[in-house]
Amino acid sequence: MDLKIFAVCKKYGEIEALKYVDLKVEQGEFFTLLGPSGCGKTTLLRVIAGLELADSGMVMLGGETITRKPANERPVNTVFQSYALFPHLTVLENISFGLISRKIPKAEAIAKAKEMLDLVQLVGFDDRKPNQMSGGQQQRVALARALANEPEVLLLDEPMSALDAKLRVQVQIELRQIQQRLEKTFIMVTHDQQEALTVSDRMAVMNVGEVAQIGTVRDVYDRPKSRFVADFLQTQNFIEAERMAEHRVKTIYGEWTVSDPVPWEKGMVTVRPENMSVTTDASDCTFKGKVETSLYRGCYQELFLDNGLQVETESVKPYAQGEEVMVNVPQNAVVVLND
Amino acid sequence: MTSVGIFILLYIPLLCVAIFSFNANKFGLTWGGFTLDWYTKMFQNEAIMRAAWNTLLLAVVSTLISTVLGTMLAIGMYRFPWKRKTMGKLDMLLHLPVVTPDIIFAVALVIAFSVIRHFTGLFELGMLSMIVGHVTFQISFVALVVRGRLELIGHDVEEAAYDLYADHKRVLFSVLLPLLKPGIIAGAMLAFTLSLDDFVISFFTAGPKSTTLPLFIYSSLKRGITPEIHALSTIIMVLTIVMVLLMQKFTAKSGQEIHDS
Amino acid sequence: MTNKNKKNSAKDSLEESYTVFHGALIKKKALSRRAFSFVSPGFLWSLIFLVIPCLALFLVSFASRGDYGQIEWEFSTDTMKRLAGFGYFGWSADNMLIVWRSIVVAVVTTFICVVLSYPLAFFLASRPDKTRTIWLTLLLIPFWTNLVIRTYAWFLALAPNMPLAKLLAEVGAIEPGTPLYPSTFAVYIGMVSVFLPFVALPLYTAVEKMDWALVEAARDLYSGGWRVFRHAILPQTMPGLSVGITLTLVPAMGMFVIPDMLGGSRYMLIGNLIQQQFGTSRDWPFGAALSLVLMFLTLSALMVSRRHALKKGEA
Repeated sequence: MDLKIFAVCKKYGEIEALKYVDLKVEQGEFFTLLGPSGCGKTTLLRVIAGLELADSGMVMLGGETITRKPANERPVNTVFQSYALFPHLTVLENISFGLISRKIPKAEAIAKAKEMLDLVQLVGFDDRKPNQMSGGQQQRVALARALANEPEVLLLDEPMSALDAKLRVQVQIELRQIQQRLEKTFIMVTHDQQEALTVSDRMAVMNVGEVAQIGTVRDVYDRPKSRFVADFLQTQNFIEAERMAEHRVKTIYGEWTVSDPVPWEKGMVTVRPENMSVTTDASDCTFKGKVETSLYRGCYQELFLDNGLQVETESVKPYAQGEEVMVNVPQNAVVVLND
Repeated sequence: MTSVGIFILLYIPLLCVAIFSFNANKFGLTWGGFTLDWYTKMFQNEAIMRAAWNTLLLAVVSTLISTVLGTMLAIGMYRFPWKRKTMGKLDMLLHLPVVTPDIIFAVALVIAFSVIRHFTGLFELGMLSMIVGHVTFQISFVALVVRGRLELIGHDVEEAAYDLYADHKRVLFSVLLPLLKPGIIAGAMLAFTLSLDDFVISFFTAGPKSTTLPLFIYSSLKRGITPEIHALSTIIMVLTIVMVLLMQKFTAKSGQEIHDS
Repeated sequence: MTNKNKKNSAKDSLEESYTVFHGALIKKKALSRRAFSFVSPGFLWSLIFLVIPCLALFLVSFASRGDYGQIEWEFSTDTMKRLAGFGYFGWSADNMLIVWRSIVVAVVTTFICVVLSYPLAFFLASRPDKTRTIWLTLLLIPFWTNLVIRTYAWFLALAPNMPLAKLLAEVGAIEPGTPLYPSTFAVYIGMVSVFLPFVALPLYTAVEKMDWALVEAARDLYSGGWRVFRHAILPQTMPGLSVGITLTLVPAMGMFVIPDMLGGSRYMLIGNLIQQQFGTSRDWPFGAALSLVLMFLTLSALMVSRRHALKKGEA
């Protein structure tokens, strides 16, 4: 089932948490809501879960409008940021909680719960209590508890924020694997763009209650449409430009052809450091710069040029400070920002 | 060190009582030899046994009533988004019995009871009036303890329960109350102890036949101290120690569960 | 189901009566009803047996005294006059003296308790975990022991042939053979020993949570111990301190058991005077009026401590 959100608004007193948000999530995809704190992503997730009531707008699952359906009637389950495991119940009882709520016979519920334990690799933890487990283990129980009910959509609220960095990477991969194996729709909320890029199919970048950009992960990353999105996705190299023609701009580094149409007279374009390269052949698309600082990053190195730009290149040849380099800017690497 | 001195200050009188409860000398404060006579006498004293029974009965009944009322009050205050102002007023009402001298309430109750008696003949001073008096101030303590526990639980688990298809009843009985149980028990233990210990309210609301142990001791003192009283006091102190140790153990265990999860 | 949905989506922006609370979708009215049903029993009880009796107290203090001391429901300001000192035999300062003495005793007791509690709290906080529970338990045991027992126990400890009395006789402060009670000194000892844990325990909680880095920094900046205390320790322990003071100052003013037993029949505080009106003197309206005075003192002390706590909190 597809999840569709139409013009959802939510206000908390004076604060507008969500302003006419439109969204569509396809069946079976891993969708991420990305944004800084306060952008409304968690609010939106909770509206989908039924833990908040939208002031106006519609939420539709499949063909059915679920906007005013209580949370306990929606085929949607949540993995909470704090995991919210029931401290007085064992792991098995936690996982089977939703099934028992739905009056599924105990034997069946327990069998399903054990299946879930296998899925999240916690076999043998049946009788443990939440306070006897580590954070990572608790998170997996929370995941199993939600998935046991075979929801149409699984919601995850910053599931990895409490984990340490090394564990986080591992969990990201496992999460993606589980999602693909089960072919379920996952919607995740996070402020970590690296996380979003790793696990998602598509994502929506949100800012102060509005959706700034939606698209596949590659799309949003390679071609951010606005300054905010580019900034949030840690794009460097914001360059002022003047419009020369529909697909041509002029910057202080040279005149470049761009693949997107240029909507303004004066504006910003951006190029990712990794899309530029150090070259020896001068051409239309190259410019010269002096290396101010170089940072060795292992598999690549970052060069900070004196003209303010950042370039990434292979680390084979080290560059000294003050060395002059020629940088090539491929045509389709330049992205036009719409604001 | 000052601190050790303070502990000495707190314990010297109590130790005196304990020691003198074994004193064979009835009067005077000189040591006359070790004896257990006073303890046996105490157990045979009908007045003391009756007072002990009254004290226990009073504590049990008042604890039962106040625990139920206090728990409901706490859940009610927490489970609805009361407006700030209303919450503030309810909060103040809740804290009032905790900080106000109990003599004020005792006096107010006596007056209220006599007025009711004037019109209905009910509320002769006795067990009933004492129970009412105790419950009235116990409710606040129970409610405060339970509310503390509720805040510790947080509302995440409630949301999770609804998210997992639970209805109102299931959330209350399968999630909220089990998690609340340690708090309810702690509140009940507190109420029980407060009732056992109470002097002022019992003093004013007691009837001629409903003496409690603290009242008994007080009136005996007016007549002259006998080591029997020391024996009684020592037993009470021992029971207090047991109670304190139990409470310590209980709060340590229940804090663990929520703390680590 | 679809019909309801159509109706709902049409009225979406007008539908105000629903809300989600802790995950439950519920009509606001239904939520109110349930909340009230939970709160009412306890609230009603408090209303009937707490609030109304206090109102009755207020009313009765303006009633007059019948022949046998019962309440005559006639408005009179006799009690107010009595409070001001105008008794049956002309004006005397006795009543006001009693009120004043109660305030003094309460304040001094609280002060002594605070002064003693700080070292005690630090002592407890600096104990290693294993022994700390033992020390805390040792503090809790007298705390929970019955007030009457704790107070009369001083009869024994302050007796003429006990060490303390002997010591003071030795020094010449008192005649040998006199007990140290009933006396003002005994009252203070009794009060302090009873109320000490009320201050020490909340203070200990605050001290435990203290950030020692601030104290170290203060030690670097200030040369005097007092200034370190005032600027680094006091602000941080203020919440615990104010709880302790609130739990001591106010109840101490209403205490009557300790002055009664350790102070002798002529040493009276408000509590004793009130008790008298319901006992031997049988003057209920006057007793009610006195209780009102105590109530007034209670509320003022509460307000002062609240405002003080707020102010210090901002600092």
